[in-house]
Amino acid sequence: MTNEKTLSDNDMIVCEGVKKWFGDFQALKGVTTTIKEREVVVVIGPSGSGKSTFIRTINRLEVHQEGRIVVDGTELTSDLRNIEKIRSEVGMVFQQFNLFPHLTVLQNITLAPMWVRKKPREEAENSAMALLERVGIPEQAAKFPGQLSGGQQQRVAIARSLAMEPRIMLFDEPTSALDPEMIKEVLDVMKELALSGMTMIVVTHEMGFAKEVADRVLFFDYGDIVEEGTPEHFFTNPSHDRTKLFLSQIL
Amino acid sequence: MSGRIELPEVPELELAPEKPPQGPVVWMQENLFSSRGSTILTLGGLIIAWVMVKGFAGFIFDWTSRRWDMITLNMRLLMTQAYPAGDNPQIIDEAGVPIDQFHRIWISLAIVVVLAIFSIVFWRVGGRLSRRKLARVVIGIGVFILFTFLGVPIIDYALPFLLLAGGVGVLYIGFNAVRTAIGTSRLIPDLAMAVLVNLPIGVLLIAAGGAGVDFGGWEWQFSVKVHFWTILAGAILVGVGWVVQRDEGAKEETIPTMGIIGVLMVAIAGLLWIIQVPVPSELVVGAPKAWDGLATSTKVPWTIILLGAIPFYYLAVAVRRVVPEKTGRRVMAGLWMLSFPFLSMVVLRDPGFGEEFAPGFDLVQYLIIAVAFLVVGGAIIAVSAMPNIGEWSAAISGVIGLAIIYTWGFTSMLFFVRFLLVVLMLFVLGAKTFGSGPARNRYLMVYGVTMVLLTYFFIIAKGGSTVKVPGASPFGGFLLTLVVFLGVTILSFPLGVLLALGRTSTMPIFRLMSVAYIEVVRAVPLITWLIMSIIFLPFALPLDAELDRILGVILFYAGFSAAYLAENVRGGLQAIRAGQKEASKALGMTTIQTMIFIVMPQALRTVIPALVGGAIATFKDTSLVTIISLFDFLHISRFVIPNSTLGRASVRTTLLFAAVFYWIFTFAMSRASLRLEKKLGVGER
Repeated sequence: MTNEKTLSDNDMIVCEGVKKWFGDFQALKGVTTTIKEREVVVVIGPSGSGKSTFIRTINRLEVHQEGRIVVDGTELTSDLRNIEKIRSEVGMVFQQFNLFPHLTVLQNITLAPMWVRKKPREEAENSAMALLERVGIPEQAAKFPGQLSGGQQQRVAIARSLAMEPRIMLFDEPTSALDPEMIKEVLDVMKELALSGMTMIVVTHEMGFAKEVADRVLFFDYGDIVEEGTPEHFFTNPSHDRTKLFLSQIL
Repeated sequence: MSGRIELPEVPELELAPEKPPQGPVVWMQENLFSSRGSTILTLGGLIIAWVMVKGFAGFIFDWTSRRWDMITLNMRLLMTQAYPAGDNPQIIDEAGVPIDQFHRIWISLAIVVVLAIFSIVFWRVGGRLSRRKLARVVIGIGVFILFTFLGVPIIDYALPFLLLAGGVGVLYIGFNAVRTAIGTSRLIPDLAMAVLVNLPIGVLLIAAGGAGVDFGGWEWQFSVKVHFWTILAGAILVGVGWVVQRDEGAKEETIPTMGIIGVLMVAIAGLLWIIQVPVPSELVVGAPKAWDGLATSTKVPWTIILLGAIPFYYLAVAVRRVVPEKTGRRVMAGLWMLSFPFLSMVVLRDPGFGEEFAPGFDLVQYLIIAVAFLVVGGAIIAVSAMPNIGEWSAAISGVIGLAIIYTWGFTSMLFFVRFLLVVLMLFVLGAKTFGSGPARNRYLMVYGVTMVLLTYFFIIAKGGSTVKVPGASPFGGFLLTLVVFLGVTILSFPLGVLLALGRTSTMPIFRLMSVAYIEVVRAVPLITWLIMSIIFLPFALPLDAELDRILGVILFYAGFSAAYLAENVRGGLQAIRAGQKEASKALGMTTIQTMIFIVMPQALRTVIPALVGGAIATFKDTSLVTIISLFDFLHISRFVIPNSTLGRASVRTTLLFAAVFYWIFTFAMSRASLRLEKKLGVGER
């Protein structure tokens, strides 16, 4: 892999023994990992393995019951001020896009910068247009999400997250709801973002993306990290039996 | 790699083939007589409709037995009950001189009309109508008139129908002849069509008349003159409409809707002066009829309003050129909100500001309280808005709320103070959303303006009135219906939304209170609540509060209707996918911001039909206020007018009038909601 960016030594996200239960079902069984600044981490694993739950705990869309999560030096507790601070620094892209259907594309992107960052409208709109330019759909600014294709919607969703100028981006299966021919346009945007030095955690089944862009791959099963390592190690020489089985099934 | 992704070229699309124009015969064949079943349905439906229309028309146009004059004579009573002209000795000023109160209503109406015109201009309502569509509306009206008047008994008046039989055809041919003279022509097929349409009608009518068939159940003594001219007008409308919509350009050529409305208003104003209606001079059946102008006593103000609206339209257009549209819309929205309390409390109520205040009222005290609220309340809000205060703002708001609850009914706190406290509590709760900087300053300004206005209205409400009106309420009739309806709708909306939020909230106290409120209020009949509004209200209120009966009804009714509204809104809230809230939170928006910008707009637009349904039900159910001796529109139609000596036996007339009157308003509401749905539906495709 010719990934020339350099990782700094700053720990961006630190997880220590993160545990989470849904009723009696334990979804996370003490996840411990550290993600550095500018690092791109791809999380893979079978469905129900807790990988989505894991990244959703990072901006507290799910509340972890035990363990510590420290994001950019701020620990996630039930203190609302910390949560809002972290959420405004962590962007998230969902499987179902979750664009706001009653707002135009431009309004979708400018809403949070104007009300959370208190940016003046003009400034927010200018940077929104620049972001739409970056994801390749500036001509769709005045349309409503319902008038766009799935791939375009997901690119708007990425632009919407980037508008908050986040330091970390979380992707929760961003291409799983897309037609095959639209997956590429979204992955291209994500690759561009990774190369620009964004810290990213990506839950995905796109192994090609993992091989090409990831600095590190985490393999999740039964609520914990079973194996982790560089893509080379992971795809060519996995050590764990469970990993081998998973890879043989999907590759 | 480059950041931009190239879009593929979109290939050109072929246009769908244009539908060939089809004649009315083909249209009828395809739509009305396509199969044996549909033929039976069409004919059966027409016969049923004709029989019903015939009965009703016979009833309506039997001007001897019907007492339509009861409605025109009592229009004042129906509309306002208690705004008489200067001939009522009970309405006097301080010097004992009777005063004319009509001007209040005209002022109110004029203000509403001007506001409506400015709103229409600033929201760019209207647009354009194709000539074909307009012509088809005209044809529809013409057909309706003909249908209705063909339904009435014709035995004694064969002549107009004989004229009619040929009339439509002759007019039709005449118009086509003109068209031929001008240019394009399809005279022969048109002629054939005219004969085809008119001949059977004529033959049927003549045959029926000749055979002595009695079409009417009602004694028919309607004027030949009116009958004939109405039928002629219907025929002319059909003929003109038909010719206008035929040619090729009719579909493309458009006319501004506002222009059409302007022409209509001028026409109505003109007709007020021209049309004469028969007024029985005596109660004896068959006595010679006198003729009088339409709307005799209100002709002048109506004409002023109808004709005055047109220059105001152009004034508004001129203002729109100068003022930015968005500012204009905001100002208009504010003026509408102000207009209701202003009209009901100032124009219609006529407070003598500074004189005859309610006993125990202390103006200075009120002003001091208001200033205290401005200063202290403003400071609390400013603190609550600070970014680092966090959830403490909610706690402050909670403390204020507790203060309100714990002092309710126990201490003799002024109702005024309590009311302002509730407002302050809500403002503190919302403060966090606005943070610091210009947004917070605007928020503070809104708070200040709200407080000043509330103080003003409280002072006005406590002030005396120079009008001494007999009876439980200062007004009645349709004005009362409208005031109750508007008051209930405006008050119940925010309350209902709050209750819905409470019921779906995760805060246990808030949820429990909302659920309890909704379940209790919905479980008791509306009539019970209305009665309680006069019997129990004094117990529920703080010690020194005193409420007008109408205000009490509005409050209780609003509380009742809010419970239903809350359930409707809850349906909308539940229809919103969880992902919407998650996305909003992931962007760092607070719960309140998520509610205001993401959840509520979507929830409300999905429940528009239900909300409008509720509003329509409220409008009709205002007639229940009759239970507590308020004289609303229906009560006056049903009892007051029929029970007057002059109006005996006119109950069917007045009830029919009331029904049509209600229908016009409810129909307008449901049409407006359809438009709104269409307009807001854009983003949901």
